[in-house]
Amino acid sequence: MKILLIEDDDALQHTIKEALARSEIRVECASTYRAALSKINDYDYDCVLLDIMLPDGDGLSVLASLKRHKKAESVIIISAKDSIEDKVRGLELGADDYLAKPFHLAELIARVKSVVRRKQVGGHTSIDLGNLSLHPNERRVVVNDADLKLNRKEYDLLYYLVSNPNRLINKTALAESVWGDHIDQADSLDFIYSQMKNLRKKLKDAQAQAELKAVYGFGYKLIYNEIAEDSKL
Amino acid sequence: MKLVHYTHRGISAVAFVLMLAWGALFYFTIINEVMDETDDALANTRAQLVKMTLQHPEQITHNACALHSYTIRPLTYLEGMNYEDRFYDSLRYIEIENEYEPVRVMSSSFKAPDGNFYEMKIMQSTLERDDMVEAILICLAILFVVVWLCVALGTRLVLNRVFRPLNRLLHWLDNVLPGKPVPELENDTQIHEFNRLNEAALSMTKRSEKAYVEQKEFIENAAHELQTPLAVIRGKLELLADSEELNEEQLQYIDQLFGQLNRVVHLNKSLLLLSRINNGQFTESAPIELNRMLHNSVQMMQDIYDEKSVSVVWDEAGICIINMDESLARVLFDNLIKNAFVYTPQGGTIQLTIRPDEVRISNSGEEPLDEDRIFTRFYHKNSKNKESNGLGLSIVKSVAELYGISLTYSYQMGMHVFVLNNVN
Repeated sequence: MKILLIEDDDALQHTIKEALARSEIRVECASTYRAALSKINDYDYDCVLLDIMLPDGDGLSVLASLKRHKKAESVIIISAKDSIEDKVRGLELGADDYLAKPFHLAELIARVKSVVRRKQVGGHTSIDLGNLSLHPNERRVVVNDADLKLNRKEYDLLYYLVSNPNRLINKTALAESVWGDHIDQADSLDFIYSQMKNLRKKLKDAQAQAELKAVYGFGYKLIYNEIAEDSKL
Repeated sequence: MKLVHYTHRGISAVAFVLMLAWGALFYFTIINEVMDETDDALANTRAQLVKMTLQHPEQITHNACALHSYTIRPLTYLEGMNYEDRFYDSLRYIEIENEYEPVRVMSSSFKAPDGNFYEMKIMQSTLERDDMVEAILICLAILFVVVWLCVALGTRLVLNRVFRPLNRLLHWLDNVLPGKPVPELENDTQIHEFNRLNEAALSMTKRSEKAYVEQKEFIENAAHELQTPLAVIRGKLELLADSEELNEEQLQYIDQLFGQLNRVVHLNKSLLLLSRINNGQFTESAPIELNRMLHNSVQMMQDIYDEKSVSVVWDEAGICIINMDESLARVLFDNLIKNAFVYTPQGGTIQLTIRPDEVRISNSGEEPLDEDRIFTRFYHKNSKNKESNGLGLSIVKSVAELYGISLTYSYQMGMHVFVLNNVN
């Protein structure tokens, strides 16, 4: 998977690049409107992460240019402006998603994977981790060819974790993935504990190869070691 | 008290005192004049009578007082020597009419050719004078009332005219609202002071409007500028937490940093939301059914605050529909419901009452809150909740104000009660 990151802030650029690299996603960067346009003209990407406030131009023009040239890239807008009008305008111009700063990197990765997966025609639409496969279109989880019954929140949490395998996710990021950002985290953490406990038990009972692990009260990690599992076979 | 009434009262009071003083002066002057005339006439009569009496001394003994207008009586030598002439008011009995008549009396003495002293009292009726006094008083009273009415009417007419520019200016000031553009001021007048007042009011409103806009922009820009650094910090923390070689203690520190960072992020978002609401950036509105929205919100909070075992009592009589921006409606009710859940003690009760034009959200609580301050920003005097950023209710209030919804707080029978009245 190859991604173009258009972001003028160096520190944020490096952070996002590093996070995507850890998820084995290749990233190229552009800091200006001009650089972004030339990259888009010269190469093809699976997804473009677009900051709409650029020093030398409006990021939305990059989006318009992409659509004008009928390029297939998915576009996720990352913006400091969390305003409905911007969001609506971006989506109307053909963006696939809109993420307001400051986002969780895990959230960004989940969204990137989601928009790229949606573009894949006729291919795999499920996310597979060993014997666990999650089907986002049907909101269904299958382990060892058997349906795993999850409630809505358990499913949301698992989806988030499956999008970020082998990464330690902070519990507040998990809480936000379920509740959105209008809930103060501290209030919702008790709920996260009990949901995660149930989810872990369900995965274990279904003998999923991916293992949900709590880390020191900090957060959770969905551990799945492909090579190790393969060597067992 | 209105300026017109106040001025009118002042002018009336002054006019009243002046007219009273002038009336008294006028009255006493006239009376004095009349009195002098009468006394002069009496003195003349006396001179003639004395002359006549001295020429016809027999009249003294006859005591001829055919007209009852004078009496003569003898005096002792000693009395006669010390007699002083004087004038005074008295009464005279009139037999025919069987009544008393007011008279002016001059009593004097004279020495007859026989060497004896006599006292002569001459009387003159003052009925005419009393009539005159009465006439004067009536005229004065009429004058008094007429002048007073004229003053009252005149001042009112004049003042109303004079203060018209002032009233227009006051009306204009009523229409000046923070956050709204300053309306045109059409208030031409020839009165110098009012012109200056117009200019001063206009420049002051424009200045405060400018300051208001700048402050709003400042808050919004500051909040925006913070988003990218916050995103960097959050991202770096995530990357750091995901490194392999961290021990438990180090992870705890990062966890605490996450928690604090989230507070900053939320505070920043709330400030942005507040400034956006106050900037009037939410202009969309659609009819929203509050019953369903409240049920959804309560459902979500019940999930989150499951451990608190709060019981929720619904009292729904009809559907409440309100015209507003949907995301703001959610902000408004989520905040209120969340507030109720957060501040209800363990095992407490939340009561929701929905009427077509009213929504009432009550929750149990131990002591009343300061109703004047709970909607102000960063008020958390009684708040035990450290996570509260102190902006929730202030956002609620701003949203309510934006749509002309009245929002009141009261403490009744151990419950905090928030009442929303749909008045739009």
